[in-house]
Amino acid sequence: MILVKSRGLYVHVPFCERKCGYCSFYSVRKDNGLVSSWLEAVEREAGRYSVNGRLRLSTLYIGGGTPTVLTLSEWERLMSIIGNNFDTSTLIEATCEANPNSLTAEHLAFLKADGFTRISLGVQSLKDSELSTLGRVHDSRTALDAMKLVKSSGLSLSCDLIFAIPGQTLRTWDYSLKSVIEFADHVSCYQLTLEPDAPMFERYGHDDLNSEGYKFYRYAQYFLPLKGFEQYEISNFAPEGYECRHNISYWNHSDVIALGPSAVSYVDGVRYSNPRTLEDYVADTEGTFEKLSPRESAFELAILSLRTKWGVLRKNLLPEIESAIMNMPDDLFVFTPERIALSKRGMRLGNSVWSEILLRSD
Amino acid sequence: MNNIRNFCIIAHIDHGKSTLADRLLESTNTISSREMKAQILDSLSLERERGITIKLVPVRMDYTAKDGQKYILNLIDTPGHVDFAYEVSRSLAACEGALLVVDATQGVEAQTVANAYQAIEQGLEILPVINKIDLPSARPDNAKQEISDVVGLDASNAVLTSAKTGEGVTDILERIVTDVPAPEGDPKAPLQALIFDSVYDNYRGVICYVRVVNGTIKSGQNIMFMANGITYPVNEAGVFKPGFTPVNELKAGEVGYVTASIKTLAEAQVGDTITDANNPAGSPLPGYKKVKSVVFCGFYPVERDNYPQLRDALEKLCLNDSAVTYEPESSEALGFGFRCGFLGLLHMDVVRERLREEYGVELVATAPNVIYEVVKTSGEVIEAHRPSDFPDPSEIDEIREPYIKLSVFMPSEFTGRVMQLVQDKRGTYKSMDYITPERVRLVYEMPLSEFIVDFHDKLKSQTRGYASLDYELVGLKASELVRVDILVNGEAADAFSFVCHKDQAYNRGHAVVTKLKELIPSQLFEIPIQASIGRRVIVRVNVKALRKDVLAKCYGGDITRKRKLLEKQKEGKNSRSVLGLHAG
Repeated sequence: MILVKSRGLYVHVPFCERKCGYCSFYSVRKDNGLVSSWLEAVEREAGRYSVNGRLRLSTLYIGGGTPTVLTLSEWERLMSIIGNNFDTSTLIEATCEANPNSLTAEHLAFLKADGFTRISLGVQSLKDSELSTLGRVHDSRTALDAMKLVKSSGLSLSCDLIFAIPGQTLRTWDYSLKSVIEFADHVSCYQLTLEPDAPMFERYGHDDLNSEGYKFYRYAQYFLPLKGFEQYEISNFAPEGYECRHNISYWNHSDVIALGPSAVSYVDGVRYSNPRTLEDYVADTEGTFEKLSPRESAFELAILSLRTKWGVLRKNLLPEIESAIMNMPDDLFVFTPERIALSKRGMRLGNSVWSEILLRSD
Repeated sequence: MNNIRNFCIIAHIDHGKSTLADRLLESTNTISSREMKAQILDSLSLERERGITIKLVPVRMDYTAKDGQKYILNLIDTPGHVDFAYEVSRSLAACEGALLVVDATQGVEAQTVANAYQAIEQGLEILPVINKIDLPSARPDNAKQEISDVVGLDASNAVLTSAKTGEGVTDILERIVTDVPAPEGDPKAPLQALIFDSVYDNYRGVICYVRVVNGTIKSGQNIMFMANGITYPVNEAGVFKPGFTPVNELKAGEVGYVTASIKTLAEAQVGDTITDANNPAGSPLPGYKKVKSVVFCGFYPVERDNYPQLRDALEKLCLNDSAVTYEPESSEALGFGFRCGFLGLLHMDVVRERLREEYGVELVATAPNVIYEVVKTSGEVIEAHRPSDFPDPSEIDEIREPYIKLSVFMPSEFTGRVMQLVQDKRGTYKSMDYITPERVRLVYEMPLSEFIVDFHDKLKSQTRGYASLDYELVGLKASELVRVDILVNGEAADAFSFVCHKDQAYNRGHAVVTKLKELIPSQLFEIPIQASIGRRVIVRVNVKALRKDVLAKCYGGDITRKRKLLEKQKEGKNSRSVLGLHAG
């Protein structure tokens, strides 16, 4: 499945009701005037891709921000922009991110009618104390309700969970994991990482959250596969067939067109980065681009592919990358005649593996 | 022969031996003051830096005594340091008398005693000389008393002198004539000449410094080296004037040199006897032995590319110093180098200095170590030069290590500290006596391996430099030694293995693994570092893998950020390669 090159579309909805403490993604408070100028800009940007006709999409992903803060009419507008500029008849997967407190049955009905297949719900934790540490708007009850709602809608549900939250224990982590897999068919686990611009950084940014995270990650690696959720990528777990195809595109260098402020596209080996702020983006959607050399691209692809359980195709590997891998301890990898992938242990130590590989990139 | 006097000067470092020698040369007009570089006998710069004499350079002085007769005085300079005890003993064997120089301000020191006893043992007539009497703090009577109390020699008629001002120098010359016995020997007997030193000259080959004991040596004669049976025709025989001055023959009782186109120092070893190949003596002179290295360390070029220069330099140096041994070895951290053997720590420093000064080789020296003797359960006895030579603990019956007898002289206030220091170094108390109410002599036995590491520096700092020491090897003794292996990620890292007493194994193992933990970059992999004795792990620490960001999400916009982050890590990594580790 992942061998098939696909084309994905990502749309960044840069609005939130409130900024979460750990978040450094770009978002602003929702304001009706801003939404319409954002939509106009998205339309302009999308138009650039449809000059020679509508491109076929295999996956669609609406992320943010908080896409569910959009009103139904704003949604309709967005969907028509997408439909007018891209061929969505070929979609095999369409995901929308949502927050437990702003997701409603109407949203779900609308999304379903519009062909969406997945909801990615920002649950983060099912312990209220942890949620409030994170500065989330919702509580655990709201999260549970939202999960139930998605489940009953018949859409596929992915839940995001965060670990290494100050105050979190393996017990509470186990509770959150257990709770989400009752409803979800896909779980993404992210370690709390605080960029200097995240609101929580001031209070917690200097703590050693990283070494804290290890035990939670190991536990997820143990627990989720036990429940049928295979680890198919560093941060992602799902039963076979429920992997997020859109995200897989990022890891196998498939084309992803990304619309909206701060969005990053990868098309034909060129990476385009849109202006970061809504203001700049509305003024001019054109950002910067970076053309990777074949060699840079080969190193990047090796590193990205190694994030997934499918790993890298040996025949595509540069010899120096293969020799770098061969010089590392065996237990970090799983070798098959065609492929090399990270073992569970290797996934835990991914950064080290990648930097060893990059050492050979000069 | 009656008018020949062969003598040497023995003294503790800094007690003025070289200055006194210079003054004797001056007084006898052996060299003019114009030629006189200060302390001409000390030729190596290291010797000059430290003010100590290492290499013996003999010199012949012509002196007309007050009795009107002309005398030939041969001064054979001796290295004062215990590293060269064997060379000292051979030099002493070439003399009939010795000047025992004691500093009037310092009194008897450790080396004074050791050297004096060696001279007494060799049957030399000893003339006590109290030097530096010009100094305001000079206490010549105390010095005399100490010579009598500590060394046990009558010093009542000791010559009082100041090598600096020249006062008393003539008295010394007179006393040499009157007190030092003339050499005995039969010029007609088969040749026996003692090699008390030999040096290498690029043009003439090996130059043997000899004392003719019996018989006569002349150019053209076929001589034989009795230790190895090699024969050579003599090219030239001569005396030290102080330059090399050829003479027709060297007769019994005389001191001089012989050249015979000998190619390596190994063929003309110190202590060997030269005889007439056509009329050989029945037996060699007593006392010859092959010198054996006791202290070893690795020499590596600072720049790995300079390995060939180091090899050439060592080869050349060994032409001049047969006591140095070397064999190639390699280290993961340091590349290619040599494991070198020395007579002692000072000898090691001298060689290092010579490599630097004379051959321009900059090098890294590893920590010095000694040779152990391992008795295996099978009864086999092996020499272990490095930790990797040790068999598995289950095959070891006994390990023996070289021990020294250590004498420390110091002001009594430091006694407690020094005792503590020596005990920490596994020393065993032998004796303690008061030389004067203020000065103490401590005698301990301790393992050489403990002595060579940092004992001297520690002693200096504990006693603010007031202690002096001397030691002699007393042989091998069984010790409860263990080899501690360091395992990095389950694999033995040979370069870090070490041998120590079992009681120190934990502490030293802990120190090494802790140091390694700091040095190994943490972004590699989770690695255990262990110290073990055989299969028993005694210390274990883990180098934690750096897990920063491993689990961060990585989608569209994250990819570039991720790559930059990794690039940054990579730079950090390049700058401290894992292989750059050095044992700590």
